Amino acid sequence: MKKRISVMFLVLLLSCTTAFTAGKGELKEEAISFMYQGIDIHQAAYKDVAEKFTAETGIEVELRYAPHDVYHEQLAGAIAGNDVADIIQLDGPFLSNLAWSGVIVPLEEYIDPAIIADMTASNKAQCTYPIDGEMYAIGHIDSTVLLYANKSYLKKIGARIPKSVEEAWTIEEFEGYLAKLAELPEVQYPLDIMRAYGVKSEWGTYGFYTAFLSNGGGIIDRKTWRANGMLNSPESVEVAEKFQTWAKNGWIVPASAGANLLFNEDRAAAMAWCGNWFWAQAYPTLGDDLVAVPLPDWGKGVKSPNASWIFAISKDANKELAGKFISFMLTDKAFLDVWKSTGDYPGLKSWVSTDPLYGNPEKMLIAAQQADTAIPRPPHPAYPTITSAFMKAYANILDGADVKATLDAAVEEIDQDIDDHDGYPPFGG
Amino acid sequence: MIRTIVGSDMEVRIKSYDMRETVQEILMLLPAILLLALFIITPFVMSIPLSFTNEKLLPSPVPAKTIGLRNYLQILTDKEFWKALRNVFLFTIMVLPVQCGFALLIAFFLNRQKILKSPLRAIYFLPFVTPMVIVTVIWASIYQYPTGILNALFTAVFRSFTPINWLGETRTALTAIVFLSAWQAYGFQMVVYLAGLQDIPEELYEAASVDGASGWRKFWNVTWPGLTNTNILVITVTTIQALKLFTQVNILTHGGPLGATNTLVHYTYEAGFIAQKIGYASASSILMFLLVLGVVLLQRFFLRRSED
Repeated sequence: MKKRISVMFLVLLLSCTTAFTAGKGELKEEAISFMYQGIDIHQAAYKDVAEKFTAETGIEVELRYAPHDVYHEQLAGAIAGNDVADIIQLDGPFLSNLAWSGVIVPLEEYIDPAIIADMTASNKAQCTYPIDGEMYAIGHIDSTVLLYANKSYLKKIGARIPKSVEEAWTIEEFEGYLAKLAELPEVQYPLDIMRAYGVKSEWGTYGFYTAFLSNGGGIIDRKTWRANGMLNSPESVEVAEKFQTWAKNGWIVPASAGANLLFNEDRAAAMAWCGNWFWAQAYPTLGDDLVAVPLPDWGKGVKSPNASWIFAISKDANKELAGKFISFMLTDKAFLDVWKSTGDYPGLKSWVSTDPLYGNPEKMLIAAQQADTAIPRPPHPAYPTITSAFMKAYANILDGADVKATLDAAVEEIDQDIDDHDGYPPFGG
Repeated sequence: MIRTIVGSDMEVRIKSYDMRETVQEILMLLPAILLLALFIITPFVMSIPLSFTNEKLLPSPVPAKTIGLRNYLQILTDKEFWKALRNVFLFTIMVLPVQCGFALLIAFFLNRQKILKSPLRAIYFLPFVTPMVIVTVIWASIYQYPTGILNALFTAVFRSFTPINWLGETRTALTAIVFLSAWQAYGFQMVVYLAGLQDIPEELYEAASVDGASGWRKFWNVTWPGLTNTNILVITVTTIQALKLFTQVNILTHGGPLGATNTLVHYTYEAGFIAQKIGYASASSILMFLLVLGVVLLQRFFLRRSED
């Protein structure tokens, strides 16, 4: 009997303590939390700079890692659970959504002004909330998407290799080369658009929305903030149909084949349509055979994407401390060197001028030049819906769905969301 | 408790002991019930009013509006939702025989082992304790196109075989997920079947042998009827788990290609966490709850009848 009662109490006690300790932990007075994502090398860099900061200032830094592919879902979960870290990393285009929702605050006054003065124009733009022109985030990296090609395959089909963004291929040239490459026996797939990354993810929007812009289409009208008439315009339909045709022709690497077909042993892919980070992956094996090529011009000029992961301060944070850590991190030479070593795209002017990769015409100078052709993704609070609708539509189109109907469905999803929020005042629409 | 009337004294003592036992049982269950109520039932009940609004995941200066049945109407007229529903049913119908059949086969084989039974059972149980994420990574390389293990195997055996994009073609994707899932989860059903097989009295088999029954007849007339209760449990549990299909789809195919592997949970997850439409996702999860409830009730009805 007594044994039974004591067992019962033990059980009750255990379940109560698990229930209560499941809540958020308490941070010490002088401590900040930092939510981030990234590959292992970057994760190690954050850890190192946090330890350095703690050693120098005595302020504890609680590191909260979330994987890249589910980062924004986890961030949304943290917001819904009222447990947002003091400093949160975010993907550039999500800035308007987080600022509009009141999750992050303007941070210029808490950051070392030298860093702000050193930011490139494109970098500053990705950190600025269009409504009040204030900086709600800060970052040291930017990005672009371009073509990578196996030079020997290009030579075999007699393709012209552009030396600058002005010399970019027209879409007709590009398609012609794809057809010729498909006939080469060594080439199994003329083009790798990184379906292995999961086209139904931010990559789907990020990698391909500028193709629509380059043809005179787009995702959403940036004055009226309506997707109807833009995403389903004849120009947009044309671009979508082209990608669908290439997939149908078997010119595009399928998703389950992987993301390294340009530079693995078989070199089964002739070209890759990928972000700036791809150079560091392909160069070790391809070496001089690797060449950077600007994105094709669909008619209205080359348009390229930009923006990368930036740091913001959440509204309930100790803003001075957070700003101190961010400033420390972004001026730490060892920290910035890690990003240089992984071939990341410079967002600081001092970095651009000294970078061995992006200043080199034999390597990634073309990628650096594409900063001038960059058009950011729609800076609008409805961005999560916009990108979700676009990536779903693009993935289905690649798999053979009816182009106009799919784009119309995406348009409806986007416009309905904007209507549901009365146009997200003061954005209007 | 046997209530033989020995004397009124004894009866009172028996009854009050009964009461004390019941109270203690309730107290023992109380923590679990409280936790279930707090973390599962309450949020679900809270999502019912949410499903009638256009609530978003993140806080918003524009308050959420009540929109009545619009979420439900949109879901019920969405082709993707019906595809997900169809897929989940197809998956359940396919996985039941594959997973349970395989589990029964292994259990049957294990039951006859004398020496190596324990280590073999542990080995066969391994996939079940492997996290689904790791399982999907393994099977991703098996299904890889064009040079994955499966394609290489078929090409080696059949000369004229052209590699198939197992996860990338609408006609094979769902079946591929079926085998992956069956492989991961059969361990549980195997253990249940083992217990069920051991429950069948040896004398029945001996009697069948005396009557001259062959191996197959023994199985059909002794084993299979003896497993009726086990089968009911296995089918019910497997069905409920199958209707919840999510992880493999989320990692390998994201519901593609063209929604061929979309499931109800994945549809809800996409709406709620990626498109951030919490009201819409709540409506979807309520519809799913009603569906699973309906299926389970139907199963109980049909299976109870066969039990009599």
